[in-house]
Amino acid sequence: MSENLTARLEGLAHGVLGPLVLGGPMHLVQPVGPRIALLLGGEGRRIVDDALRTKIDVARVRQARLVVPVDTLPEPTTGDWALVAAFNDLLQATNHHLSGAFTRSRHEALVSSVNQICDVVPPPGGILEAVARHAIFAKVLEIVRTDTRVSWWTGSASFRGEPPAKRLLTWREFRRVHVDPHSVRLSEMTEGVSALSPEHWSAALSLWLTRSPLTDIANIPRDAPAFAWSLPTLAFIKSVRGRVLATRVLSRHPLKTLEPALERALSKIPAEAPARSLVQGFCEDALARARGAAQGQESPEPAKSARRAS
Amino acid sequence: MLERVAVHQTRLRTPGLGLDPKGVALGAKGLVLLPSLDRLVGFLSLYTRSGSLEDILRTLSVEVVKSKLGAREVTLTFNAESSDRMDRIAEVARLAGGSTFTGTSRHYVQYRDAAAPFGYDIAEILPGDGQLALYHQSFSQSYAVERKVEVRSLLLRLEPHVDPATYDEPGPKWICAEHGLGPALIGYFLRSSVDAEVGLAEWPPASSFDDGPVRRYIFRVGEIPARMMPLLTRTPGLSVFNPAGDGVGVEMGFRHPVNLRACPVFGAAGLVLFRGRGLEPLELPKLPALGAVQGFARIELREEASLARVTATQTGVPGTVSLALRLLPSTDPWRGVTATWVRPEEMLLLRRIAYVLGPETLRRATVAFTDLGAFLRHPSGIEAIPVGEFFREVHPGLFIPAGYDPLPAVSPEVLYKSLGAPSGQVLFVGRDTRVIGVAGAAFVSLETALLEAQTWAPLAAEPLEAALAADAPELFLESPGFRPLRDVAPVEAAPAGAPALPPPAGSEGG
Repeated sequence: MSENLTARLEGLAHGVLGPLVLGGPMHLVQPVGPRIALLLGGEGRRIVDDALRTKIDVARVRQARLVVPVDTLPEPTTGDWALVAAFNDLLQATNHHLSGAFTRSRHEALVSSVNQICDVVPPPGGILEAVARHAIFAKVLEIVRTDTRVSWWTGSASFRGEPPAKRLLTWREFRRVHVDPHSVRLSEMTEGVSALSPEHWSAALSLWLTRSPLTDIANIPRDAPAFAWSLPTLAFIKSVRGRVLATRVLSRHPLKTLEPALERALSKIPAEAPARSLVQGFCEDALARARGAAQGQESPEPAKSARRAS
Repeated sequence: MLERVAVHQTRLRTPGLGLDPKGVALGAKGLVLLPSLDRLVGFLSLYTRSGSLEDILRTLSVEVVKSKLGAREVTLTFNAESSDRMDRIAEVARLAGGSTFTGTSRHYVQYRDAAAPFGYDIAEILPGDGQLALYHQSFSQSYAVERKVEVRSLLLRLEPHVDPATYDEPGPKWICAEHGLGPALIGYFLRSSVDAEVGLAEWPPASSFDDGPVRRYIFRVGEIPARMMPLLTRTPGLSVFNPAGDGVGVEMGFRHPVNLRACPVFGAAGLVLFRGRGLEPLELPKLPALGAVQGFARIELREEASLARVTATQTGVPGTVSLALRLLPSTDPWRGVTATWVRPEEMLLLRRIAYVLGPETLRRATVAFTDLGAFLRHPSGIEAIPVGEFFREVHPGLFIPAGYDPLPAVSPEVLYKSLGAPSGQVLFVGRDTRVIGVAGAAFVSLETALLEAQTWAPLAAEPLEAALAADAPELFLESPGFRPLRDVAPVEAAPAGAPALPPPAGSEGG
């Protein structure tokens, strides 16, 4: 079992974690499931390929230094590995090769198992752990899939996330072959899988994002899934340091997209909820810092207002 | 205890003390007691700012005295002459933290102050055999003279202070050039028509290990043109001195703590140059023979054989009139000197001078390197780069040596056409009428040429670029294989064997 877990972790590192941190082609592994996902990072298990591990460590530190000046980061924890596995399963749920004519329920089952993993994995226990987790998943919303539509004089074919068959591209001039590739963002990846409910998948993605609160906050202006304040993100901005880091990552967004996104998220919090004043203060700090960044000047860290709000 | 001298008092107890016409108690000498040598320097500095030390210098004696308790103090003794002089000295001494006394030989009593306008007299003479007995309102003390202090040697030991204001002082200057820089500086002054005198001074070798005496060139320049000041003051080995009196100069950028003009202790026949930055002063007991730099002008002798050629040997039908080009020294002032030819043996000097060239010069000057040396051009004048043979541009792309005129005196256009150079070539006519063509494209900016000589290591950049380059993750979908959900337990069942991760505090909410 241990060797099997080591091999699964290595496959996950090469196929998912590596591309997620370093960029490049991401090849999903077989769905992991909650039971193995929660065991992957245990017993001091780590990536066997030293070269890959070193590259990932360097890239994680580089990513973290965009937020906070650290020189080293702790290795991925059991929770981090479980989230990587959950992300693999989440993407596998959008794979049209996953099911056949009589196994359409596999997509929904896989999404439910992802929810199960997210329910078990706790949010980061401290600022350093949150930064380390963000360093892994910072690029998660940058993932794209290239779908290709090939048309020729007598017909056409579509390919989701895979290169078109070579036979369709032969005699291009004679057969008047036309290839039309287009990129699909993460939030639109369920298109083309009728057995999967986009709402269900999007809710699972939202839940998954809350496990890395700094990543979730850093992507507040995203279109879908829409950002909503959760307990992990609220707990993160409640501490002074977390609030500073959160405003810092948000200051990189243009003001015209950040301001409506913050207002939209704030409007979802009931007026009588005690968290509303905390979020309101945070929004003011974040907008002030973003305005300062837009004017080319460094605005002060929102330590005072954070203390006042807390 | 001292007694105040009263009006019309005629008898005084202090030996050698008398009354001057104003009725002030005054001895033949005055004495200033100062606690230390630095106070002495302060006294001299203050005194010489407002007046000359010349009137008391002849009789001035500076001594370090020691009391019976072992305390060492400094005394200045001088001829009192009059109460006017003593009043002024007493004021300065008070400011410098000293006390003023008057007396004649051994017993000195405190000089007058505001409390006793006619001075003081002693009530009782101190018994003892001290060389000096001083009587003050607050103490009476006898001293023994320990040693004398020469004012000249004291002034030589004082280090000048930094004072940038001295850069703007007009007037003549002394320049001290290290031996290797002297000829270049002479040539520079000569080319620039600067009136200067030069001499070669020698100092004994610093140690027995030196081969010979230390030689430096000493220049006396009436007025240095402002454009030369940066070069002269910033070139290592050259020092410019402002005259600070007869036979003494202080390096530009520094000021001696004592006004040396008011301290004529250095003889006019010699020369003392005070240098800053902690360097020892240069002292010449006797000025070397100085001669005008024009005496070093380049001379050229014609060959004897050429005399024979001026005599016609035969006459005949005149043929085509074609003359070889010659260059004749000209007395006209130099104009348009915008190029220099630095021969290979002078390249080392050019490299050294490049360190002190200003950014504007480096930016605007262009250089072309050839087998015969480097050719430098500067559109607003090449004098900022004082090395090599200077050329002036008589026609676009045609240079002849500065100080020479072409013979026959044809116009520059005709001369240029007669050379028949293709376009893009820059022609330099040497003194021997040899014409050197340098491609115009070969001239590159001097700062670029200097930088290109630097070595650099390309290794460090590559891994950094590789590390910073990161593609966006791109998802590829493939078949997950047979029974893809075999590891995924049914949702209804709890995950078997799940580790004991703490349960989440909550998932969503506002």
